[in-house]
Amino acid sequence: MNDAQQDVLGDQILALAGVCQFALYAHELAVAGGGYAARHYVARQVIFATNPETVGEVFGETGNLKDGLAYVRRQLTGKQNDNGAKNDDKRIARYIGQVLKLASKLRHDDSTLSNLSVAIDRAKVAPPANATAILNTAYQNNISPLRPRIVLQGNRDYLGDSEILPYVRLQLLAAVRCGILWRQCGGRFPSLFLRRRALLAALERVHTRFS
Amino acid sequence: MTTQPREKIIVGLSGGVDSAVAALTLVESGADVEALFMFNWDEDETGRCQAAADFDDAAAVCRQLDIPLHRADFSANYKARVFSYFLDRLQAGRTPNPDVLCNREIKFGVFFDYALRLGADRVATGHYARVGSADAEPALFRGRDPGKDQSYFLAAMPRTTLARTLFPLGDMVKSEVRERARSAGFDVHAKPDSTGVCFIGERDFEGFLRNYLNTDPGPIRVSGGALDGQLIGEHRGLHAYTVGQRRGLGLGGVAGAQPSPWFVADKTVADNTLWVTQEPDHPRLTATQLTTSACDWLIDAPTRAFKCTAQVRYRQAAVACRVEPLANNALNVTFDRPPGSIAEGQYVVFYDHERCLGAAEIEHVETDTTPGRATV
Repeated sequence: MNDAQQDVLGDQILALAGVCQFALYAHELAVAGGGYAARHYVARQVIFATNPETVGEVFGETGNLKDGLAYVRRQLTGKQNDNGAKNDDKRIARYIGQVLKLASKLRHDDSTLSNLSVAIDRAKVAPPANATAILNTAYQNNISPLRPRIVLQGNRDYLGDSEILPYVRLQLLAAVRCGILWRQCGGRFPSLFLRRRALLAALERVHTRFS
Repeated sequence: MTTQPREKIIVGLSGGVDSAVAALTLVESGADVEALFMFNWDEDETGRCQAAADFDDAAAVCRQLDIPLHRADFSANYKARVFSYFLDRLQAGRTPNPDVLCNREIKFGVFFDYALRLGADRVATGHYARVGSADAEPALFRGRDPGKDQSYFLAAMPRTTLARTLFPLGDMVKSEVRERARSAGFDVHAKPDSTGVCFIGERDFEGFLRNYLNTDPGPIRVSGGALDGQLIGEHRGLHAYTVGQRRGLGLGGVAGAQPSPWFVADKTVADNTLWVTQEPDHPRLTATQLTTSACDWLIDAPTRAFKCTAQVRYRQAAVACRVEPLANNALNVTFDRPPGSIAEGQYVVFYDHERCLGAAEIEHVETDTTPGRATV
């Protein structure tokens, strides 16, 4: 394997870790409710990185991908959660699959991408709370109508809370953004199952930079 | 069951064992009993009317009991009030329940009125349910035999008919009914129970419907999961499938899918698509909220939200729920837990313990606002 191929796999791992991390955060919001201002900040930065020089630039500071990389490591090494978290793992895996499917669709949907781009540009110059509201509306108008529809399972109080749902959508929009990035880096579903060892090696290479 | 001395009771005889024993019980009670047999369907595809054979069985029972037998033809009413609606709803991708409709429109509609015109003080049928009293009003209760209770199918009967209705089998179990029929020497004592849609009896339901419906085949696609939207087969016509159905989908060895069962998740008539899933916790299969069309109440129509139990299918455990009245007597129903696959067009029937409160057709199943779920 040459250096270029190694870089490609490293980029794919970063993008995939982004998908996993933001899907995980959306799940945790649905199950445990609000807070997590730092997570929302990271999600917005990832969404705002529309013209990065490198994949690493999308995720900015060290530590921003820690949870996503840990999740990917656990999946690639086959180390499962304890019994109590198995249901959570199943749900998160479903969200990740749905996000990747949505990203594949969106990648070739110029009209929807254009709508999202306009909203992201508006959100970039808005205060944080307004930015989240703009991105929430953009998600509802452009991504919610697409199949697969993402149905989150969690605590009925949090899922019925109009204060929390915009942040859930913010995390999912960040996940979709990372999904598009993953496809742009050459990410394909079969490689997740057929190239585990190579992906794990790539994970080790990028891990020190981002966790 | 109590009857007044020498009151005239007309019992609906179907030619089956249940109505025969209902008639026997009434005769033994000392009532003045007459029987009424109704034709709902003219003839089957073979040209022979199954109802004629049933009529012969009913006539034999009447000869043994020495009671008069009347007959009436309600097939025009049946086609206008039940069958047409049944076909319309099927064509709209729903799963209608003709048995509930038949009880409301025919047995406790035109049949009931006809029996009153024949001079009946009360009308009896062979249903497994009970009429009793609650709040000084006649009330419908479940039949004593939980395996045969038919209150689900009776729940939309007009409230006004309750006071003049008798269900002689309400306190009996099926084995007892068959034994009584055998002891009485009825030839029908071992006759099998009719199953399925009442007007077509034992015939091939799908084949029968092809005579009446546009049954275009169409795509079967996956709903949810990694294969979401993927085309995996062809259906035989949407009318043949019900949400939650597991058997008869003809899906095996789908590439990329687990070797686990497939369930019908949804039907979209606009594009003639059948949606299936392998996820038992698919939102459509675990929905807990529905809205109904106008409810047929057997109690004073509630004006405020209340708690009770309800079932969305025959022979399922009733599940605790909250019922909220909406405009035009429609309802919003929220279950404490998923009651099982909810099919639009079926009936939701409400209970207060054993008492049946009413029934309404399921118009819409909510999956987006289910507590603990959110479609984002």
